[in-house]
Amino acid sequence: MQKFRAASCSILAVLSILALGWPRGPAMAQGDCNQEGKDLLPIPEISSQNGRLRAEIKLTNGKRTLWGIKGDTRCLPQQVRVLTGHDLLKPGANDLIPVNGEPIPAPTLRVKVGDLIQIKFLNDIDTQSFAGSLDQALSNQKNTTGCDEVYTEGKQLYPGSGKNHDIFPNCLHGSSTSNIHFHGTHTTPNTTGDNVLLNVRPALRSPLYAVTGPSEADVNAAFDPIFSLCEKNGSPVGWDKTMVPDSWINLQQKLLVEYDAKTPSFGNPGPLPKDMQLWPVNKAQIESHLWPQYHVGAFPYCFRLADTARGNDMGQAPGTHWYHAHKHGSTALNVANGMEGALIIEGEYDAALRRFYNINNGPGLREQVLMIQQLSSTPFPALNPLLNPRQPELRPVLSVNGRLDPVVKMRPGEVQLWRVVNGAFRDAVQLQSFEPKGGLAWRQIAQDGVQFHPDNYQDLGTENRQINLAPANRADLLVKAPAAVGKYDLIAMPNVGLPQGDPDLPTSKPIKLLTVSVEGQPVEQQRGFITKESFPKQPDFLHDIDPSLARVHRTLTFAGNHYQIDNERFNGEKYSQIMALNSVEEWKIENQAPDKSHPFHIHINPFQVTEIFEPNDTTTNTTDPAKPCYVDPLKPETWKSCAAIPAPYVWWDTFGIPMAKTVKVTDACTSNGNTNKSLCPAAIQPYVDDCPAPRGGGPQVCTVTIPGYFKMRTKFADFPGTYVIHCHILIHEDRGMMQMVEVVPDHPPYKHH
Amino acid sequence: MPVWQINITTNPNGGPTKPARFEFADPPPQVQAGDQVFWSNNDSQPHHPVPDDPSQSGITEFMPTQIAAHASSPTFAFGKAGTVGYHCLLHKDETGSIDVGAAPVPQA
Repeated sequence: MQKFRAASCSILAVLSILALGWPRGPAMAQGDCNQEGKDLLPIPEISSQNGRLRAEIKLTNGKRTLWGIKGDTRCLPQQVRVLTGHDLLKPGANDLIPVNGEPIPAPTLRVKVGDLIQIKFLNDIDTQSFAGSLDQALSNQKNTTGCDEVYTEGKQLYPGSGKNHDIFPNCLHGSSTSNIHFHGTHTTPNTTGDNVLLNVRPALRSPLYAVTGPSEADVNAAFDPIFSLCEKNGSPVGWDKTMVPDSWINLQQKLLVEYDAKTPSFGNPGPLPKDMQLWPVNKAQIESHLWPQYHVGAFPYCFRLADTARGNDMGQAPGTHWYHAHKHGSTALNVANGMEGALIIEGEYDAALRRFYNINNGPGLREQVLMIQQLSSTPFPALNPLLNPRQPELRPVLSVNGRLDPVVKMRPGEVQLWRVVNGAFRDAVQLQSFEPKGGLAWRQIAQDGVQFHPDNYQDLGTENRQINLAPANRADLLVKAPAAVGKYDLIAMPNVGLPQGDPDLPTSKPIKLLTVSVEGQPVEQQRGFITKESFPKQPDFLHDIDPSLARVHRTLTFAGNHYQIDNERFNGEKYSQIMALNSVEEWKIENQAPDKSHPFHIHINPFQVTEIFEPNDTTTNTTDPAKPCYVDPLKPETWKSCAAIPAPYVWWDTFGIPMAKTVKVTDACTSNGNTNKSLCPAAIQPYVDDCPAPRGGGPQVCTVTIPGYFKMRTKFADFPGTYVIHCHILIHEDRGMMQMVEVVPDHPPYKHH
Repeated sequence: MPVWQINITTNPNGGPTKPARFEFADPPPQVQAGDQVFWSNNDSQPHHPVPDDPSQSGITEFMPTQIAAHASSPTFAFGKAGTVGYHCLLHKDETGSIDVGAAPVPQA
């Protein structure tokens, strides 16, 4: 398919072009890797001991065998960014890295409510393996957009210059810089906690730099005391020598100054232009007593999971959570590369389930951690000059734990706990059914890492009820095998309900997500599904939020495009929402897009969904004027939910906002032969377009957009600080569909007498 | 849509007294139309790969400017199948070519 030819040259340096991305030795034939139907890969785990998890998570280059987009039969080793793990509490433990080049997720971290999490995060990426991945800094161009740039045949494919082109920093960029978001944790968003404003840059390793590093010895010498102090006093609150060793503070400054001085930019050698330098930013933050944003090579994550027994108002829900890369501008690409892992937080919820199923001679409650991924080295359809984004087949395929259609094994009669994480960077996945029907069955027991109330287990966790997992959603399932051996397919549908035509979220056909092989000896005592009476009781902090406490109500509107909330792209210099610590609020989250369900996600605190309005829902007679649930396009007061959600409410941290509905209202906007938005009923004018004439000619058409929405209640409990809300179609987040929020102390520091 | 990296590195056997040349040490990548390629310059001087014959390949340039020392080029996405010869604009005897295979046919 490909050849290079040698040719003579007369320059001083002798060059060789080495085609990386292809293995040394015998070439691998197409399609002879990652074939469907292999056993499920168990993800290696790192567990806490005695209330503490201490792990090394290293971000590095790795060659992983990935599939192409659907329709591309190639299955090729490609350079991607990967996370490897190492348990620092087990001397001599090996790095937890995948074998055979398979793209298994990062190690599962397993902890308990109230545990201290200490992670030595290393960024050891060789940036030469990823084009222009150090923001603008290593660009060779005189004029650069600052975004990743892709050219083809004399034109710029990305970011381009069209109507909806991306503008730095709300674009794909800086993908070798990273951080970790501990998705689903209730902990501090500041300093060494779930702080996604950090930029942990790759260690300096190029011959360009006189000072390189940090070295492993530097990191260990600094992080051991940081972790000790953090264990004793909690996450550090300041970047000073009482909490961070002087040696580390000085080394980080030295590395940043070195980077600013020596890194080439715009085709010139260093220093970087002043507005691109990193150290001055850190310096200003430190002088303002803020935790600095830029770090080189390593970062000491250290935080404690909330626990009401330790005085937290809102506890950490035990359940299935996850962690993933979250640096603005590269979340989609990094997660598409596979930078994600499960975070299992155990508590009384798990213990109660195990007590129920741990009976004599039984297998107990065996667990499967299932990470759904959409692996790719280029996640954005616009980066392919051939791609017609409206072709639904052309997108990365869905895999589970690094394999296509893996096989999960169960014994006849066995009940297993499946912890399902939708770690796909773009697609929603609806679990539809086991086929053939009548054998296997599931019941949902938790959503987004928060256990159901027993009433919801009874009413929502019914057998084989379809479960829609927006990107980032998790579902805990009890899966019961029939008494007889057999094989069953788990059928899933990506992006249910979405119309054709959106480049980011094409519709598709059902897929076989995995296979279950029921085989071996039947379990001797079959307990079946746990009963409502035995179902784990929710801790008090998960009881329904009292609506009378919600004194602040907000409405947030996600746009019909891919990059705006409340008509703005992300502005990192602005708090879009400011809330008081420990206050309760009710938010209405609207979606103006008629072709995509933006998944709303907020960090740090989960929320209860109390109302859902789906204007496209045909089951509630929204289109029949004679019925009570009729949604009248001319009367916004009818654009509301018809069927109330019964309490108790389910907790979520990510929720797909229902799509908007568009209705032609030309007649209502026409008078004396004139059609104009200003002629529409006043109440709907804010929702009507500009009444354009069709492209092919003809009379003007006015269209009203009826937003879908959901309402939620949440409490901004325990942890003040800065964090974000965003769309969890990660390419949307990178392009600007995100807001900065601030939770401020509820008591002023001043007293008046 | 794989992304292929082409490393530009200094050959220790080259130098003022010996003509430099391109060497391709590994089996080449299986580039298909739609794939992306970028050049990673590990040399201490700039380089600038450009297509040999734009009229033949239909490709006017891979990148807008040269690749600085120890830097990477932007990525280039191939829009169609064919053989694309190229050379370094700064060192015209540095040449190479890439055979681009046809894009896969999407499955319905």
